[in-house]
Amino acid sequence: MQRILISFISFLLAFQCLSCYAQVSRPVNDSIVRDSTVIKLKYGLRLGTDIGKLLRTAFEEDYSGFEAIGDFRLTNKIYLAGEIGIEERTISDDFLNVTAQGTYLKVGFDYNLYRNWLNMDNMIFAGFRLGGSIFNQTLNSFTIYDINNQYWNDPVTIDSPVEFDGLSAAWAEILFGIKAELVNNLYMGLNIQLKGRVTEDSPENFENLWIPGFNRTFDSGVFGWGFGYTLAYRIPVYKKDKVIYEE
Amino acid sequence: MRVHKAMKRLKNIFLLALTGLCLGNCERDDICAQETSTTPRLILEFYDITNQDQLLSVPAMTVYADDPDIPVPETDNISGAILIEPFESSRLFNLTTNIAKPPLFVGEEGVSITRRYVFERRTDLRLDADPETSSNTDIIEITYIPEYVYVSRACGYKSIFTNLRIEVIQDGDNWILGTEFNNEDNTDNITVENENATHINIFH
Repeated sequence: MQRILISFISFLLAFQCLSCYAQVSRPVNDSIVRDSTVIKLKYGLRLGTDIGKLLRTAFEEDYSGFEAIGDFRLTNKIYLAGEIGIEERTISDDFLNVTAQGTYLKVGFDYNLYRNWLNMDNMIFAGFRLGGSIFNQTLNSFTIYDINNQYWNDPVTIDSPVEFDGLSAAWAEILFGIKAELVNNLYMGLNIQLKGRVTEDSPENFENLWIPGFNRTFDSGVFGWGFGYTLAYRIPVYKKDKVIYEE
Repeated sequence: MRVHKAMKRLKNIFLLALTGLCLGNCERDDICAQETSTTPRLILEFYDITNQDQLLSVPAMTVYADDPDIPVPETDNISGAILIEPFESSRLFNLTTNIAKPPLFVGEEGVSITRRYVFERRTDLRLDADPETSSNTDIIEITYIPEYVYVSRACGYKSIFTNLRIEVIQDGDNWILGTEFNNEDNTDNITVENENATHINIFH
């Protein structure tokens, strides 16, 4: 550890000297004299899963889901990214008991906002996705909302399930998150997603209360949110030199 | 310097995440607001038969269901009389008023339901010690078909009442002299969807 620190400090000092030298020589010919360091950046396919969803599947009775995540580094900062998943969620309150079930796909990009130290490979990123889901909703039971029903003492509950098939929704989302390399090629990440519905296919005399990949809907409008807690492994495909010019 | 910047960014992301969480949890969608239009009652207003635009209060009126499970009202607090407004304790018992809002029994969707309400005039004459005087009770029979309509996540479904018709049962001594639906087109039935307006005018 100490050795690394010493070598690091000496490296910085060397950098410092070089910069003095560069400043002196800049007027001669900028492009030739600028000093640089070359580091190897790993490019490859990173595959993983949302462990948050696995944990919820294990501990929450009314949820089960699995999501596979992947990204592919296109350039130093830009990643092609996507998620594919299957989810089932039951929402239950005093008046409604509804199960939504279906699959979803999200495709987009992540942009790394974080400037790594040398060959470290962490991310603080902003991302964009287009998402779509095909799902169905089952209205398991419902109770008629009637604040005057005490008079006739007739709370009406319908227990025969009603199924709404072939529903779909599409949305756009922005993500903010971090990804950190825990050990070589193994990454843990945390992100929050803000979503806006573009279109949806709502059932007749009902609505989509929860959409796979989008999560719960709100009465106030088209927005929704979600979060991800990810674990992923990068299969290194090739390395590319990254040239860092001294400033 | 860079570490400091990164920390600042992390802090921002953390704050954003927190805001998101709050938005998720603080949303008021889960409580059905009282002003939401849910299952409506039937709204009746009482008018003067001789001057049909003039509201006329019914003296000492009591409204209760003509049903074996519902007792004939004797006092205000232990009573089969309908509530004047939900969540309040006062009942339409021995009360001089020109409006009544009886709740409708919600049954199976699509199946015709008939229920009867008693409209008692001069309840005070039944309650007093004098056996010579009595009140006048008229019965209105209401027939309708419930239809379930989705309201919202918090309220679930309400029932509306289609094909609603009423009939005043003739007893030879009716104080209710006529009824009409409070709508423009003279249909023989109405749909009761909300409590925004009076559904039926009753003349006496």
